[in-house]
Amino acid sequence: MVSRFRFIKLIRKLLQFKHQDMIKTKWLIYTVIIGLMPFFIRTFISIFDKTATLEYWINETDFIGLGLVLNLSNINELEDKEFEDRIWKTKNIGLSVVYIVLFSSILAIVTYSDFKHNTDINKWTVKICAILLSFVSFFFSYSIYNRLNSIR
Amino acid sequence: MTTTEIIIVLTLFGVVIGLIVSIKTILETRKKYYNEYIKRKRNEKT
Repeated sequence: MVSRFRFIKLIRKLLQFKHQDMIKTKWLIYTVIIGLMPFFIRTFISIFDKTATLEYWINETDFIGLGLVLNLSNINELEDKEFEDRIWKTKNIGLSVVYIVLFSSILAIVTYSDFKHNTDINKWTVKICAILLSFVSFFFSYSIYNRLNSIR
Repeated sequence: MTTTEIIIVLTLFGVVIGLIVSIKTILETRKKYYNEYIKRKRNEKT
């Protein structure tokens, strides 16, 4: 009877997560992992299908999609909150918008060149650029959520 | 300028600015978090 009461008390304590503590974890699960879903699916297919090539596995649109999702989540998280440092908030929202425009431009160029079968674009250079930009977007998004998680 | 070169220039621009802003934010956060921690400890003592 006493141990059951203690067990219930422990469960209640574990469930009393403050929203603040869960911000980074939620970001990681809802934004990053979901954003990487197309890449995970391609990886899964590449593992089981022997005809899959490296060019198929590393697709620039997957990473551009990840970058767009990360920057949109930054704007969504920052927009409705009040901060002491309003300049920091405005700077980060502004940079997220710049990244969204950048990613959208590269996506438009890639999509159009695929449509026209344009050989002007070096595919591997575009893939490396998309991966680099999405990595920097991840790091940028991490810095924002780290701050939201740490400072009350 | 070819399309690939434009993409490379835009990427470098994005990477440099993004890294500067991110590293600055992380360093500021650590400084503020440390200051808040010290304040909390002082309040607990008093």
